[in-house]
Amino acid sequence: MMLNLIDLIPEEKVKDEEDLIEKCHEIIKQIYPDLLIRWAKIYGNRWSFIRGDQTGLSLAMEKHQLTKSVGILLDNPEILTPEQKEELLNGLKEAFLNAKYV
Amino acid sequence: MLTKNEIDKWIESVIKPEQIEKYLENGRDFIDDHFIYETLMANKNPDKSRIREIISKSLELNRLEPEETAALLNCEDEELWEEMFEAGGKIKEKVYGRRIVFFAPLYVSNYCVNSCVYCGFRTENEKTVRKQLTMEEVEAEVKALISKGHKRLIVVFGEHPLSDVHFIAKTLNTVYNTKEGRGEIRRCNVNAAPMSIEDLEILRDVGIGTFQVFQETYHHETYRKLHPRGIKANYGWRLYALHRAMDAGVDDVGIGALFGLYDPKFEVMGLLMHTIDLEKRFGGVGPHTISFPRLEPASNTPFTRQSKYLVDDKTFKKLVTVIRLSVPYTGMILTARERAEVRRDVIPVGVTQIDAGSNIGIGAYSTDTVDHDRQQFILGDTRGLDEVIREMAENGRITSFCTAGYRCGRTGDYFMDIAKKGKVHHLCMPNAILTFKEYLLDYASEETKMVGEKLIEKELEALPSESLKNTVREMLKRIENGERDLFL
Repeated sequence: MMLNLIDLIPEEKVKDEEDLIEKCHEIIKQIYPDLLIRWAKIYGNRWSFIRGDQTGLSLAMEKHQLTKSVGILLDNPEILTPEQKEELLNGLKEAFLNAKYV
Repeated sequence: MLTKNEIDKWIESVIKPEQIEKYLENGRDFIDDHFIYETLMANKNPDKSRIREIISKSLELNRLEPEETAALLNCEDEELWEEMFEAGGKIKEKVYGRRIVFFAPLYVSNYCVNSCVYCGFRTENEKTVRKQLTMEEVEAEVKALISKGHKRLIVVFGEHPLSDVHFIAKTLNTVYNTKEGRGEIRRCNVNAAPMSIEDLEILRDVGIGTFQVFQETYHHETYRKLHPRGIKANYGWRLYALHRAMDAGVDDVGIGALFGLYDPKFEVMGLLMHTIDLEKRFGGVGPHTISFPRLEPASNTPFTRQSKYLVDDKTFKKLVTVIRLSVPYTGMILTARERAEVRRDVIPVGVTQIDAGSNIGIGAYSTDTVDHDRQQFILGDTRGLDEVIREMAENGRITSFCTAGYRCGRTGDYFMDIAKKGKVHHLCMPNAILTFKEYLLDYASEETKMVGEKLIEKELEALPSESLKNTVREMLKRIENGERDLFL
């Protein structure tokens, strides 16, 4: 299963990677409003916070690398079923892989 | 040996005037000497109620304004100072809990083109034996540090073409790729010469932890006199080093002043102004850490004993307290420059990070030697890591080797936001417990293990919820069963 995020960004041009992150974040929040998600730029060991939910405490935080330089951190992944999570992650990876920036 | 001409050419190639000018306001930097003097003068003899109001503001984790910090610095009432010491400790506990982060310095090169009159590494000091580690030697040093239990380093470089950004990046890669037994270095901070945004992006890409540059003295005229030649002679290039780091995406930066060069009240005000300017320009994100080393004796460096601004122990504790109260949510580093008794006295007023078992000679960890002629200064606390960790534990402070934050997106404004809300310890205390457990299992003496295990039990019980306690207990079991590097 794959959530086709690119298709959910209708008619809009994606300016750059940050813009894509912004748009993906908004779409995910529409689908899973309670999901706590943070976006990070990956530099070696460093995952630098870009945007997302500022919670402060998570007992089950999960890190997922989407591309060489972009990752997400889910602070409450337990609210997703394994299938939903897989669908989300595959959709995000696909969106970043196929994104065309203008 | 480089000629003066070669050094000048190198300096010219490094300093990019436009990367100073872009931060100036009306052509001026954010350190207004007259404003600082006037603010200090205007807030002399503060009354008790005003000091107590300011303390309350700090206790609510609000950063102070310059006039408030000036009032604290001018306080002469010893009873109020006791209240401030107590408040400093409370603030630290509120933001960071009862944990203390440990790191080790690793001096990689002492070649330097600067002429800082107070520094053993200054280019004119012929008594200093110059050395730069090869990557094989860096690996040997890192292995020696890992085998003591360290997980966090700050690598230190003299300011010289030999230690350019590519050499520093190579060093970071070597540090991160070195393993020894079950251990590795998980966060590597850097103290090096100020560099351009483009060079800082190179360090960002190899996973730098905190980038640390100390202004040493914020007072323009004193700075000019004490840094007569070399790349460090440019006040503005140094002052905006961390602004450039933030612009390069290195969103953890460390500021510092060297007490003993000029009026320490001025320096504390300078640290505050630096914090304010960073916060103003980078969406509320100020320095990740503040350092406040005191001038220490150095080989063949008479200035270190002659300066009229040397800070005594009692004054030092007060200055550290004022920094704690002025910027309640920022990490504060007290190094092994200080004697053990000074550290015992000052840590409780709000220090969050210390080093121990440090050796600042170039290549000295792997050979386990002390050579003052290869050191920038002489250390005050030469106790081993295990001994200091045990002492901390006996005093109820849990050692943390946690490096989770910067590996899972708790950096920059995310970190500052949770720090300002006093939420850092919700995550950091569990992570401190987990990394302390690793230390006890892999590196601690039997004596330290006994004290440490009791402390872990106590801190587990103090965690705020049953679900968190259970989560941490399960992770502790996994560590006992051989897993490593678990964190929340």
